[in-house]
Amino acid sequence: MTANGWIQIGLFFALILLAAKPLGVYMARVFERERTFFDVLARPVERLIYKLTGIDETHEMRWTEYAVAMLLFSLVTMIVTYAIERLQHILPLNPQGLAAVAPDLALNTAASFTTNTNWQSYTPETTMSYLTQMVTLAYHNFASASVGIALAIALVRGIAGREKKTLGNFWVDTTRATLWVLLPGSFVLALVLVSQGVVQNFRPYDQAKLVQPMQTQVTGADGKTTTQTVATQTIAQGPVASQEAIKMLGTNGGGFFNANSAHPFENPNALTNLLQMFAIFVIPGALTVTLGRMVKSPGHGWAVFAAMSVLFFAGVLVAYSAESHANPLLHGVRQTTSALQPGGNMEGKEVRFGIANSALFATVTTDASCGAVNGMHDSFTPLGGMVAMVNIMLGELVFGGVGAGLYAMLIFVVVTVFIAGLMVGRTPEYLGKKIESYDVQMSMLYVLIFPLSVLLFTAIAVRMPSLGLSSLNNSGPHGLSEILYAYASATGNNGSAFAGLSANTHWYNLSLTVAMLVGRFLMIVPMLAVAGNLAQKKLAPPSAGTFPVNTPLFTVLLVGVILIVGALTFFPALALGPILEHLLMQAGKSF
Amino acid sequence: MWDAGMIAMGVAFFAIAIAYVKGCDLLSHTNKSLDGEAAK
Repeated sequence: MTANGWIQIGLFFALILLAAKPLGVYMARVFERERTFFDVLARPVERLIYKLTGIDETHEMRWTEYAVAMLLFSLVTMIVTYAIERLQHILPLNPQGLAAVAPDLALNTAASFTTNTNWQSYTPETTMSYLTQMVTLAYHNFASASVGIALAIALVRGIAGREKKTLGNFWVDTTRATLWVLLPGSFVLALVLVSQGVVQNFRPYDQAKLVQPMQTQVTGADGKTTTQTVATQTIAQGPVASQEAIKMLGTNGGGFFNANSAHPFENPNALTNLLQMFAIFVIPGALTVTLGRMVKSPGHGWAVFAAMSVLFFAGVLVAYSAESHANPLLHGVRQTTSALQPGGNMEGKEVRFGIANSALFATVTTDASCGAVNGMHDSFTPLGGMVAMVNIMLGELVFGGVGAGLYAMLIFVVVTVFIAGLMVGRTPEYLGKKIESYDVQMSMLYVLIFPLSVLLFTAIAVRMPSLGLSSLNNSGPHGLSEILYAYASATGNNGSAFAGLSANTHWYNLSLTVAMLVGRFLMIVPMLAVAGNLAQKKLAPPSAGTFPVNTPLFTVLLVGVILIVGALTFFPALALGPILEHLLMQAGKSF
Repeated sequence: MWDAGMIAMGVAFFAIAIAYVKGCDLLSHTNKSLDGEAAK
């Protein structure tokens, strides 16, 4: 680790801290329907949308109506996405003449983008037409992110509400999240990215003549190997910047190119790298301030922000430290930091970004449910890769996905308050509301669905070699890590891949589809049930037994509960995967 | 054929999810206060 690396990490976090309050207050005003400076542009568009779609913006929804609206919206948009993928070969904006997407892959991709996962079992530049990328995938980047923000706001309203039966209006919340937050933010960011070299065009792919033609061995269908000379390189183009901006701001993560944010047309330089990480965290960070303002306890918002920050720095520290250490299996190679080389583990990392920015990016993208990558997580050291995995397994609540991170954290707040109540023998209260059996049941349902999906699918994949192991490229604990990571990433709606696993098979496409849908929708429903139940409660006056939720003690307890629940749930699987791999690496064995 | 199967799979999941909403709502009738009093 170097001082330069930590200064860059500190600069990144300082920017998040600085942006949290103004953006958080702005979002609170947007969702409480107070006046903002952007009303002059957004309000006429909003009115027009409601007029065209027949939405009554004054209608308030119970949690069940809110949930069903969200589910039907997601179903319809998912089917439309599937249809466009299947028909892209006869639709316009397909200059490369790409074929229709295969049915199981099309379903996987439709579910992936609908759930804000953006898991990609395909190479985008050779699979998806410009129309598919723009009309379906980029659209879902906005839609799934706005749904996430709306759901978090619904839960915050539930916490803030007094004897109310409703949580707001799903259509109004998603519309306002898109018009007031995501669209203007993406517009500005896309222009900045274009100014830095991110491409934005509809051109067919370029053909470049290689300065030095190369020879490569190719195995034909008949099994014979021949030598071919490669003299040209195809350079993919496309409307990248417009998708790149919302990819980060909406914590979606699906790359326009297969190399994602390691590709120079997606992430050309150190400034865009910083901006991309900033875009991932800025809305989730600011939503904690929105929480504090809407529940009229700013200190509580900052206490939640502090808990997220503690977990974030713990992750960065371990990942950066692990990647900075020399690989003990590389004998006779100088691996200390010097002016000529960065030291540590550079395998799978972009030399433009180095170790500090790769470790930071990996931590940020898995703390949030983003999934964009600027390095190959599979090539991280076992402990460095484990940080990415653990971040997802904790529920992506360290800032987290836009909205999804906040509601995940607030469910843990309910669990924490419940445990604190048990510890002191008092009725648990959260911001003046008594926590009841139903709140705890729904919170635990939320917490348990995630490991159930991850561990069950991983166990099936591992125990049925013809399904789960046939497309695996690594054996031993590293192979287990690759499968475990895939299902954690899918269920957690992260979307990053550990790689080393060829996931474009019937089994993985369909099982990961189910994992993504379960991880999104079957967790949202109990969360909304908690919101609905909290909203209708009376406020109890604070007493000597009330546990304050705006103190450092609360932050410490919250972090402790998150770590204990995560550790108890996933430690056995991690012990067989990255921890065992680390110990075997120290003993001189690699996989 | 494949397309019908894939769309049926998606629709089936969301049908289950809507039933799950109803199930969670029904469970709220079992709600109890944790201090022994009836929930309000």
